[in-house]
Amino acid sequence: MKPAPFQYVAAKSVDDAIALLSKYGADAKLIAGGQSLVPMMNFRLARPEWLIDINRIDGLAGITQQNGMLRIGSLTRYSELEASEAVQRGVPLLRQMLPHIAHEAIRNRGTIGGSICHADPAAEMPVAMLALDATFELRGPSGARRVAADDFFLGQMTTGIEADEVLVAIKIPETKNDERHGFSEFARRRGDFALASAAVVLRFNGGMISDHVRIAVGGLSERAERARKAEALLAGKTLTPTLIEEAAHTASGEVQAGQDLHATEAYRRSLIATQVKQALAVAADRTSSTGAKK
Amino acid sequence: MSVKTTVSDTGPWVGQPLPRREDARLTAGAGTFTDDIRMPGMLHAAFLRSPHAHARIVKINAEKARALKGVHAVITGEDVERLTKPISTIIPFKMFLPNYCLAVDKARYVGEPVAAIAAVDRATAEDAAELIEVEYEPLPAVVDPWEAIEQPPSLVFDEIKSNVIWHDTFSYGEVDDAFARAAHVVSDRFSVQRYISTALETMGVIGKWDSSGLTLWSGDQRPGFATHALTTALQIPHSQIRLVSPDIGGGFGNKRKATYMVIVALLARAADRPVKYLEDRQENLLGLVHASNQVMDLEMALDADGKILGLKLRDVVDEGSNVINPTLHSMLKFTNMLNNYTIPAVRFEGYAVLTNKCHSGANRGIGKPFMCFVIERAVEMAAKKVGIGSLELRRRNFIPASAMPYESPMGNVYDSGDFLATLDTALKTANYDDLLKQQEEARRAGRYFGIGIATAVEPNSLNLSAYTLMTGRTDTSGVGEGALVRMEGDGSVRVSLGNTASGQGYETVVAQIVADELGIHPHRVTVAPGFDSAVNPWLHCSGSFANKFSGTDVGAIIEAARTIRGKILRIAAHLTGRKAEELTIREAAIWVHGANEPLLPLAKVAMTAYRDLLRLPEGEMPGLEARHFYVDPQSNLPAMSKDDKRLRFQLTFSNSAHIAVTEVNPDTGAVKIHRYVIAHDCGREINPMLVEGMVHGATTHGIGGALYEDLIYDKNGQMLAGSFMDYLKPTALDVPEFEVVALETPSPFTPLGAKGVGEGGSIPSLAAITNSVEDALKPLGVTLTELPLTPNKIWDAIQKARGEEKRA
Repeated sequence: MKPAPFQYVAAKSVDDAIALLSKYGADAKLIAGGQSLVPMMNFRLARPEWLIDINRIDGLAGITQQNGMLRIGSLTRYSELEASEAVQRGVPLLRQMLPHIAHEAIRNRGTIGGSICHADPAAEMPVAMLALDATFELRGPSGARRVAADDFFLGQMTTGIEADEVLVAIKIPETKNDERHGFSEFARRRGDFALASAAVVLRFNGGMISDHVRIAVGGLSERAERARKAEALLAGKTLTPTLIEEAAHTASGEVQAGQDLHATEAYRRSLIATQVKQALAVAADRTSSTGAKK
Repeated sequence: MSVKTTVSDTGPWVGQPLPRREDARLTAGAGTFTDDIRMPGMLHAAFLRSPHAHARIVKINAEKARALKGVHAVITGEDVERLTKPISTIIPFKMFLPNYCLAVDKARYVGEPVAAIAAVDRATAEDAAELIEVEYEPLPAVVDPWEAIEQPPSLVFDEIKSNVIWHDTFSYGEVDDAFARAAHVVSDRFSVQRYISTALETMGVIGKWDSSGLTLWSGDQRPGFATHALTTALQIPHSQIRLVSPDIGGGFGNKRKATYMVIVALLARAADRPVKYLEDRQENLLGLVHASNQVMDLEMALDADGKILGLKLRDVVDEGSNVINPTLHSMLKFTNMLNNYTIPAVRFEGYAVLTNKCHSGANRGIGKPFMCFVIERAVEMAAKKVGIGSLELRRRNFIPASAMPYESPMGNVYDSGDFLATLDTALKTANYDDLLKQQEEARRAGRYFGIGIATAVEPNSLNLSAYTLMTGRTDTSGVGEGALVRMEGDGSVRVSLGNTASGQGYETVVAQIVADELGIHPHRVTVAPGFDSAVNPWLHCSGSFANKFSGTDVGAIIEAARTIRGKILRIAAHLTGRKAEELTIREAAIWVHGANEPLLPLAKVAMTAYRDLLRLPEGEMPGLEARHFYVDPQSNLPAMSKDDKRLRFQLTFSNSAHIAVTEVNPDTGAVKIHRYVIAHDCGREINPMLVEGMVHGATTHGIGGALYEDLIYDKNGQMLAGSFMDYLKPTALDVPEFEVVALETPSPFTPLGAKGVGEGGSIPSLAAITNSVEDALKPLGVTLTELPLTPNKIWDAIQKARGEEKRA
């Protein structure tokens, strides 16, 4: 279980990383925390000829607040996010989701940008990004561009990033006062990839759900995705147990769910319903989801 | 934790919870495992393994691999067929099937080594493996064991015209009569998946040739088997093979791998350098060894009062590609099929079947976890049918303490134990009545709360005469072990064993035993870690298997120590002009019985033995060293009569009762273990702290088997659980806090009254968890017969039950 031969180069800056990517193209791979890439290389499932290390780039990690947004550098480790008061206050849903990612040792090393670009359909981070309306700041040879999470995750481990682009930062709108949210996942053991996960964000208008409804689901066969029919079902209504039941049922029917070693399709769809229901129940319970700024 | 933790400053040392003395070394990273050994010029090996479950090997072209920079040697099946003879079997059977260290002509399971490379480092060796071109002609894979018997898609070995490597029926007592008289008959089919211990250290071997022959360093647990296999395969004398086991990071029966040793020996010879091979985890899961998947059809006859009258069993063991020691699971199951009940009549029809899967082999309890699963599930089913509680049914059928020693119809003699007391202790510890109340409340609240009980015997040691009955083998019998005790001139002692320690704590417990025998402090006893066949005393049955330490190995240790003790007393008597019978040894001194002052220091006697040679008693050999080879006196030969298939297959019997309290989430099928209570009796405990650790470890193994672990193959024979992402071990987060209570009924059959404990937890745990989950789902009327109980499987069962409810 040793990787196929590869060349290693440490990028000094984002521009340097872009230049290296431009030079080596599809033969190169960026390495950040390496928590998915290195095992895949050791299994020889991934065989980049060039490994471009971005860990030494200054300023690529860190969390800043600006204009109601949280800007998270792509090299920020999960453990930094977990410890961040800005995350706790500004995007409590993200904070709530973080402990579900693998184990502490992995969270000490793994990065937010790495998980987003790896786009594992069972990973938690893409689910949270979809629910939180995150946007991704990408930089390539022709400059910077922004892509919304909704447009980023294309398929199994496939994203909208070009081979010569670097994900520089993630921007997440801070949670509003009238917002409620919840996260839930089911895994075989603590720390495993989810068989099904769900993140929900609901904005309220008085006692009613506004039209800002996000239900994102993970643990699927292709990619994390939003359950838009279920979202539409909730918009403009009062959140009741019956409505939660209905939304969960709708979500589990509309997303793509496959089968694998641990779950048949029928079981997985049932789990999706359970997790959406649970996430909505968390959101409905004001006390456990109050994350808005005080 | 219920374990005694206070250690006194004086003996007797046996029975005291001395902390494991090897832990300081092992937990500080100062152990020496196979992979820690480095030698000048040492090369690293990698194997190319078959991607096919079953395929003819048409052609192998290794030219590119040989030409790669850094590669020193490449061997393929062709070389192996030319350079070696097939590896000898551990358990012989009627037809000899050739087993080589690499696939010759045919690959028979995914992960079978097809070629091997030695190179300057492991990565280069793996690069070279990728350059080897193998032309395969895929053949239909034999995967399902029943299909392998009835409609085989192909033959795993063309040499026999069937995939059934062994089929026999053993009948004890009046079985037909028992069923004719039965008021109730319970029948069902039960199955268990493949799973394995996955020791922290994977299997590794280093091989080196020099003028004295071949030396191998490895985690091997059975030096006798390994030597025999190497000598037949490589055609070199036993005396030119030296096996060294450094620290072993867990064995559990898995670490017997002659094929790896032969490959490494061939590579080392071809490269003329030392060669190291260490499995990576994927190889470990794919190809070290698997505990068999097994299917058993059971019929149990009971009278109107719930007395068990007899059993009819039909059992299939999926041996995979095992032609080295098939029938191991079959034998250890049926000979223990009584569990802890008086069952006068048993008929067992067994099949051992070859399939295109990794070879089966020994793992913690071999077959007995499934034996217990089948019986303890059947007991629950029977109790429902008879209309009494399952606790009451157990009580009516337990072998009573007053009947000990009890001879089973199969010829096993249960030495001691009070099964009723063990069960009652577990119930009391669990506060069973209170649990029932909790369950009632939970059910009223719509929660699925279960209480599962299983009782079990844990058989110890293994009489190898058994294979005379299984396969007709007549060249192997009994069981024994070797021990060497040497008191040095200063009165300190070193001990070495034929049993290769793999984490059991021998450095601690052997010191306790020897300290008591020789009247010294355990700190003065050094137990050699590891094993060296050129130094340690060993027999062909030596090694770590079948829970044999507490009886058989202790016998060897004590006999060797007593030989030294006798000699010390004779020399002391001679030096002091007394009679040896007047003297004793304690606190590192010689005393006259009953005296207040010691007569002389032990070291004085010891030094005399080593250097004052002319002052020794006449005829006394100098030195204080004894090597003892012990035959377990409980082992016997089969009866001369051909029809009498009774034998003492296993020699002593520990026992336990497990109570698992679980809750099932009906939406996800997930099982939460709220409590896990264990009452167990392994006779006199040599070290209660180590005993409790073993109970925890073995029970965790069972929880893994019950809920998580599955070496699952698809219909094409691809193994799907090739990493710890998919082969799920229970972690510390998934295992409950165990509540352990020990009973100590000393065995009259062993030198210290001690019995085995390493396997016990793994035996009733499958049944305890399953009984508990089924009890949790009782409101839905679910019956569980197949392991593992994955959330998906439980969810399916719930859906099915709810569907039936709706239709009804």
